[in-house]
Amino acid sequence: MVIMEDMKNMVNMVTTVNNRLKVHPVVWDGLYFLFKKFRFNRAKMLLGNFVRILPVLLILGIVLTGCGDSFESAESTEKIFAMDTYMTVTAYGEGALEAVSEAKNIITQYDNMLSVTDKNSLIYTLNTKGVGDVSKELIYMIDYSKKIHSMTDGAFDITTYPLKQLWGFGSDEYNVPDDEAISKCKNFLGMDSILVDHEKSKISYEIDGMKIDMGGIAKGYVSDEIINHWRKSEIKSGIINLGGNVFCLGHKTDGSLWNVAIENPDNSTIDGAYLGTVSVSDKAVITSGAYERYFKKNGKIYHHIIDPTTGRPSDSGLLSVSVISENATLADGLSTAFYILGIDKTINIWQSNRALFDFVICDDAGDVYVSNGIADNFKSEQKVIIVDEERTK
Amino acid sequence: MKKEQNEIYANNVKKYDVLLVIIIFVIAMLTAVAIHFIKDNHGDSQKLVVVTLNNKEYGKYPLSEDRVFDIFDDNYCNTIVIADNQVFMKEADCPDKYCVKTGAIKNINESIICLPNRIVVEICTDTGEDELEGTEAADAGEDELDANVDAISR
Repeated sequence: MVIMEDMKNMVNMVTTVNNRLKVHPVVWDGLYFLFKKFRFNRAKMLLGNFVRILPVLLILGIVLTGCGDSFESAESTEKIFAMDTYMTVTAYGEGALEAVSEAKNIITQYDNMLSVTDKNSLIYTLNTKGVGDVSKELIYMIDYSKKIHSMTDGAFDITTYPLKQLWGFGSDEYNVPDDEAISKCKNFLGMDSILVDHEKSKISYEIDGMKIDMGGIAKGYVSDEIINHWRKSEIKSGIINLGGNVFCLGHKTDGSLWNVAIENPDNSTIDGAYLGTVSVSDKAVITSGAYERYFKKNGKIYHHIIDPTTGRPSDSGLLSVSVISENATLADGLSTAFYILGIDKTINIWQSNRALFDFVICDDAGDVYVSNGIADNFKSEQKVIIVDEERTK
Repeated sequence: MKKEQNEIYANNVKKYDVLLVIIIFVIAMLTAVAIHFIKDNHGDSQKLVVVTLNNKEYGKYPLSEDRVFDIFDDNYCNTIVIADNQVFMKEADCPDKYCVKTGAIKNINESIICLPNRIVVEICTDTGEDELEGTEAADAGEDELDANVDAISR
């Protein structure tokens, strides 16, 4: 019995030196087996055998636990230019290589399906003809867009594409249109005018000349697709970054949470590269801001997020909106909508949907608002305003 | 006869095998300590500017050494400047100029991207491989947030 205690201590010591190694159950099974044998057989012979088996057990323990460790540290990364942005995809563990090439295929597939400029894409055909047979996935995305549209009082709108074109976004021939041109172009708006025939998998536009653009949720949707595939193929850890739209699967290989920094907008009054860092697992962190795609004319800045009610770049006083959610499609759509809606309406929507998402928002006064669901996992050097169920602003 | 043999056997077995156990135990301890050190010894690595052109690595430069260089071809010309532990795109002939507007970057995992010319300038740690997990990578005394960032949302 004394020997047994010593054995236990030795094994424990080996495994706690480096806390990444843990005692493998097989080691305990082996010890228990020996213990039973020890009781029923003559002592001396067995002591010899026992001591001889000990090194084997020790090595077995170390190899088994060590092996698990090295499997987990297998890593594969791919960098891709697609969907008008730059993407990095990283998977960890067994099957990481296959997972990453699968992700690349998914990205290419949706890039080809959803491009507004590629003449062979579903969206291009739909936008030129006003009617078309489309994929199940596109039907789902349009249905989901309508959901976010009604959830955000119409701020999220995939039919603003003609307006974006009018302002020159997408073509780089920027111009500031006059009021008449804007109000004419607003006639092409209308989420309810996208008619969906679910049985025939067909879309048709009610308004002549209307055009849609899935850019507002495409990257979120593609991240969800990749993560779903990874979960099916039992990938436990990975991180994808589609042009600043981040999705973290599981935990890091050391078991800790992923840390996603939120960029500090160039035009903010706050110092530092980041607003702060959110620590998450199994969540998307998606940020909308207008500090990247904009043009200047006569000293005034015009950015690419068009408010469907005015037909002009939104002017809500927000500089950056990050939405944190298990659902990247939702997070992508909401972050754009909240950027347009401003802080008060965003808080209202969050208060009735607290289970679905959290947010981190920075406004032009330099205030950082954080919803209380994520507040404990948000680290920042800034003074942060925590928003709870009752707070109005 | 058999009994004697067993006794001799048992005595020898005890002595040498205990010795063997001790040796293996020591080796195991040393290995564990070594693994620990190898894993955590990224602490004093420096920051690297990694330039990628069209998905292929174009070059790696230490962030601590000032330099100016052009990446050019028939179709594109970008000027990259490394100065004062920062890197920025000084000039580019792309139509949108997002890369120039990005401004200077200095933290691990930050990047400047020129989509039309397919140029990516990233800051990584000097670990021999482009690790996304820059856990122990920050220079001492740097911004604390920098040390632990796996990705940047923007």
